[in-house]
Amino acid sequence: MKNSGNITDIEKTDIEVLTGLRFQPEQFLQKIEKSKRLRKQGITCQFITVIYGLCWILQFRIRIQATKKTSRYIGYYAGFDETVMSPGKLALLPGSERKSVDRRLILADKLTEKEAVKRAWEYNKQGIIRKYRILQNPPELVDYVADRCYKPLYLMEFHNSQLDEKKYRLLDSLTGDLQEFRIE
Amino acid sequence: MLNIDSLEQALGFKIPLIVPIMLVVYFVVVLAIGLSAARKVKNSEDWFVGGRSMGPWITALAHGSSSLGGGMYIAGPQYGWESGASALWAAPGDVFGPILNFGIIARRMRRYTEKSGSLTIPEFFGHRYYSKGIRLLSVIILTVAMLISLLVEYMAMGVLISCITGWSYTASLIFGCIIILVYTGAGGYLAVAYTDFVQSILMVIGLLILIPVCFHNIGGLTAMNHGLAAIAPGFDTLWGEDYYLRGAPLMIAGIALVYFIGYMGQPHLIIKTVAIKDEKSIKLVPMIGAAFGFILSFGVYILGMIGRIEFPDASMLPGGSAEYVMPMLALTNLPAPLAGLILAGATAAVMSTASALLLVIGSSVGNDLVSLLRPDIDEYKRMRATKWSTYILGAVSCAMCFIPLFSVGVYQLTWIAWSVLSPAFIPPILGGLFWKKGTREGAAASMIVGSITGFAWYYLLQERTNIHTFFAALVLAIAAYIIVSLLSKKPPESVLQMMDYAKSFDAEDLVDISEDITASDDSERITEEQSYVTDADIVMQKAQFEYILSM
Repeated sequence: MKNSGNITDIEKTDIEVLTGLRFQPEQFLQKIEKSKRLRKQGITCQFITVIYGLCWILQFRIRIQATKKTSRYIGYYAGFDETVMSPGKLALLPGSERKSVDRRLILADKLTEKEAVKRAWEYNKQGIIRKYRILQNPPELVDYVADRCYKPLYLMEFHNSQLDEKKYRLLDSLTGDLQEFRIE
Repeated sequence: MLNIDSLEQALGFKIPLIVPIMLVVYFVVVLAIGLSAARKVKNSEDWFVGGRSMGPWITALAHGSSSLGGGMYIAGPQYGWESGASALWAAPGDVFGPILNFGIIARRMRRYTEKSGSLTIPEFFGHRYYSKGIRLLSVIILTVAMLISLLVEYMAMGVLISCITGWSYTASLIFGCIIILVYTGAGGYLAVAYTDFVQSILMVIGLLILIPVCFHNIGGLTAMNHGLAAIAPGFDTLWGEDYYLRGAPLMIAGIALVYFIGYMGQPHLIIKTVAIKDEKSIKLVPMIGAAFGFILSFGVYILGMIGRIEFPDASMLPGGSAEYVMPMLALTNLPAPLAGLILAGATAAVMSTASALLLVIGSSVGNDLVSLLRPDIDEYKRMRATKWSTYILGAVSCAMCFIPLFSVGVYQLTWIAWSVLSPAFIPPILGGLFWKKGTREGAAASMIVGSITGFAWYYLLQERTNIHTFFAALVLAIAAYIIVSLLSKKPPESVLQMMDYAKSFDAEDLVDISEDITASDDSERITEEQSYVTDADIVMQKAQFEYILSM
């Protein structure tokens, strides 16, 4: 990280940050250093700071109607990554820890809780329909619990000395993808 | 016309039943692959360029099998038979062709076409040279030259199927055309790429079996050299029969360049650079393509040379023509099932190129011509028009095979088509991506000069000047492109910005660590299906970004 700013300007807030995420800036930078092509093109990369993006961690209670008379209830873990607006399913609930971070390092919310749940359910419903194949009725979301967690996004700066060009990307700690972002 | 009787007469025995059975099995497999690929087509981008989702292996092998098609499998051994060791000058071109296409052109071409939304090469020309006229001109040149190439492939396919099955040439030709039309029309690029992938594997297996067996049967490399030397002085050397290439460097350059540089001007090959899924995949393609080209290109010429040892006189070959030296070698040297496999491989080679050509012709006419005539046409109608163009043009070119004018021989026609198209398109493609001063007037001049010279030089000046048609046409086309571009008004700023975009680096594509680290457990992976990303639009406030940078 570059030299820190005035500590008194920092507005702190407590958030739940996902833990155990496998992608770190160090391994990414090591990979970059090994790239002959990037070196040849005069491209260097450095880690600037960590930013936080909202991930909804959801626990669904679902009603499955197998026949006209038989219904079963199942528990189901799902998620919605607001950073890339991507729903998904979870095999297990991820770990998280409470952290006090600078408010300005958190990306703004895009959705309300209800909207995130709706999108995650719409996506996961298809998977459940595929999994159970023959159902009397579509699966029904009976209840849910939603937790606000944040995933770290590492701001990386790329500098191309040949073109004298700088570009910024976010390294996703969940997927390892380098994400573009817009500045408004 | 060659038929099963002349082949069996030359062989001295009847073709075993297993050989046509292998071919029928192959047809069924190809159709199944093509039609299953067709089910994946959801929109016009899928149809034209496979949704820009092709991986490096499929791209490299589809590129290889599309380039080394029937012209190669039939004409390659024929050229080796006729020219001896000097035919090997043409081989390195097929090794370096994919390296040039994917090492030089691919990255910028992919970035440019993706950004500009171009799905075909004429559409790229139209955008880069900011002219509907250039788009139309390129469609005309492309369609004429590629229809000739398609004729060649169809003819080769008709004769091959006829020889193997005993059906009439007409029935064989129509049957083969229907199969190609069905899967190409239905599945577009996806069907062509998947079937090409399978066909290329079959081609490699075929050659890797046939060449060692034939070598063994003629007594090895030394015996081949002695045999070639006995046919004519210099026949076993790179200088050719009677050392005619000694002192003709431009002729050698032409033979080498025709396939080497020529690759960069072939739309059915360049389109593969548009369809590849990302820039990371581009890096692998040259290596795979070069290895494939090495086996195939050297293989077919060496096979022709072996054929000359086994059948030194043309009268020993069916119809007195060296065009079918490869089937002869397969049927006389291998057990029937393996010979069937090799001949299915030869048919595969022809069909893969034919389908790739047909796709490009259909796309150019359906997408580009229809879009020019009706700019407001919607995506669905445009795709339907393209499919119908593909069916109609495929059927028309099939009918053209029966016109005596085009029965001048496979090798000659292949050559003319290649020499017309590549010189016309290489300068505008390369200049369009790498030279900002390239203008529409320059592109038009290059296309006109390149195509006319590529056709006329062959008949009028090649023998007199001893300069290869391709070489002459390419030099003149480049000169025309540069001179006319420098004399005309520079391209608009929007085009120059697109060229800058195509040139500039994109960190996301260059570095992707996700390939090295595969998630062992998805418990923490929220985005289990990345393809379901609905709107990956990350927004940061300007003040927030400035604050972060100032930290």
